[in-house]
Amino acid sequence: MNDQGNTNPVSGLDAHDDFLQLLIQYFDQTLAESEMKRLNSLLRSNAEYRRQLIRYSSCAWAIHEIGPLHEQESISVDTTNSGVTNQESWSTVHRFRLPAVAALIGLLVLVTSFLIFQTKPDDPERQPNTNARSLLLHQVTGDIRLIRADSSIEKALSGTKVAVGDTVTIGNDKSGAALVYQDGTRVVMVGNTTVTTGGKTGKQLVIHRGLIGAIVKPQPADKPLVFVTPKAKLRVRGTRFTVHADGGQTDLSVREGKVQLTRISDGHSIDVPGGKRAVTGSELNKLTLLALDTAPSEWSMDFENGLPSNWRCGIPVKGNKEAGFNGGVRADRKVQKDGVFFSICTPKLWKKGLFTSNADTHLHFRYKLNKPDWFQLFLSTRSFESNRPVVATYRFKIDKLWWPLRAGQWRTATIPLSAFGRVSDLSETPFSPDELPFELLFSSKDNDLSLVIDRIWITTGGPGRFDVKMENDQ
Amino acid sequence: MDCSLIVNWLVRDRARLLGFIWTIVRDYTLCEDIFQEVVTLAMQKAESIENEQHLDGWARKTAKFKSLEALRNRTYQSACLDQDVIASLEEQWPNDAIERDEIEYLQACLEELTPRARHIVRLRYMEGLTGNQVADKLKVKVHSIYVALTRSYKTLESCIRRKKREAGAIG
Repeated sequence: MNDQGNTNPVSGLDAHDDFLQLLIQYFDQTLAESEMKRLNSLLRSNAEYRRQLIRYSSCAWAIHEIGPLHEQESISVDTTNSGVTNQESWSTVHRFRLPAVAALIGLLVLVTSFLIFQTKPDDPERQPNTNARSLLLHQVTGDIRLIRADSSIEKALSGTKVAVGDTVTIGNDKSGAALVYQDGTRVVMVGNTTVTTGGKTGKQLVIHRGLIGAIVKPQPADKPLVFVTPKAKLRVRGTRFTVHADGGQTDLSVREGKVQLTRISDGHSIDVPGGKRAVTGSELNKLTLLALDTAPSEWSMDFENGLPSNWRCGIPVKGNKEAGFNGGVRADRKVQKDGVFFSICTPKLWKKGLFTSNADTHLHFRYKLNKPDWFQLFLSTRSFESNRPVVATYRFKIDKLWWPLRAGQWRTATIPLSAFGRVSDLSETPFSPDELPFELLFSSKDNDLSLVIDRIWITTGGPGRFDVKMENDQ
Repeated sequence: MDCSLIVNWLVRDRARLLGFIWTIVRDYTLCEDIFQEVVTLAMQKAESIENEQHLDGWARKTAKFKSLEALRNRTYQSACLDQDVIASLEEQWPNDAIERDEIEYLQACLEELTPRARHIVRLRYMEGLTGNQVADKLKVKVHSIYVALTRSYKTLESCIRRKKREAGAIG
């Protein structure tokens, strides 16, 4: 190394440049053993050399991260030009030097503009690519907060841009949103979920906790989408899957394609194909493929053994076998901000769902009332489909449920799920089988009707219309 | 420390930590893997991490350990910096690594390079080609690529310093 500050007449480099070139070759892994020794010796002896390495390395990595913004450039290289600075802008230089290219670009702009204006504005998968690194939040429902990389916090809306380093927090179980990547990959987050985007283009997602569903477009083999949870790392190249993560374990269910799950504690990996599931569990257990844990398409609850502990509201009622009643559940009184409610509610089964549905799925329940008045049924759902809200509430309301009424008379109602209308966005859109019901609620407001339900059950197949049958007076 | 704050901090300042990892392993993909490991370990140890300063030191120490471990596990092992040199760099890193505002200047400074210089910088650092691969692609000797990269880096450094001075003068 030239330590005298002289300039080398061949390369035109001085001593500082000489050290820089040594560094560049170190990072290129082309240093000979003797040069490596020299580099170690220089770095060991002088803090200024270490400072230069630190500056160079962090600067070079930052350029690596900036990458995508410059990917669209193409260039004809004049290899004889050794000049470095250039005050003319890139576009200026090429507009004049390469008229044919400019004409081609003009044509491309015209074609692209045409395609853009043909695109529906709310279609995130076909938005113009204004910033290769930006992700968009869509289908925002409820309370979604964005913690920006500079630590500022803002409320997110549909269309909000998410930058690399931002954290998205889904506030509660009635909230959800979809993170949409430039290539159309969608990561849907529902209730009590927190994620942070990372990686050069946001293709690494840290899932702090919660439930996400992902529909991942095919990714390059060497640049998979990576999800990191407290317990596992998932490498994804194009698939549909759901993952539930908390501090204890990571539970992966793959619907299509393949996901590689690596347990962080011991580095063990397993490829999880479509139709299979894997759970990180304890290090003592080998990672194995499990069958998907899906909700049944038919479901029944008769309360004969009381009210299951995971039901969220309702009071158990003892049975009277002689009267044809083996036990049930009574509406429970709850005071809320906007009134007093009398409700019966199932468990909230976020991950698995209460039941899966088809176009002909029907809900049935046997019940009685002491007073005639309105009560309604609410169905909470989640969906990973782009044409459905991430979370939604559907309602069924009809006076024939309670009128005409004889107090204490047992009735059986049959309701096709398609008769439920969406109320979370006031659209009354019919329920769709794309959506997974995760909670069912029966409720009256400000008036205790003494609603008792003897049995609730779900069937596939049925009359396709609402029906209520009254039994003999009790 | 809160787990969300930890991840936020690590991701926000990832270029500083990744630059350190890159110094040891010099492989972009391996760097990302190690960074992910550090993030997940930090999430697991969130309760024992007291504040940002503690996290900064812990993350670099863990990154060093994981980087050296990764190098040991590789079939092909190229010469690496000596451990005492890495330890000195670890200590000095927080004072000298590029700051977030400097990264913004850097982005603007890239525009000041000539198209040729910018193209070489892009091939080497953004696309991750080696010096030899860049030379093959451009049909020049590898030495001229090293010279071009050296000059480009010097230009960028002085541009960053200038922009920082200008911002300071305005501020």
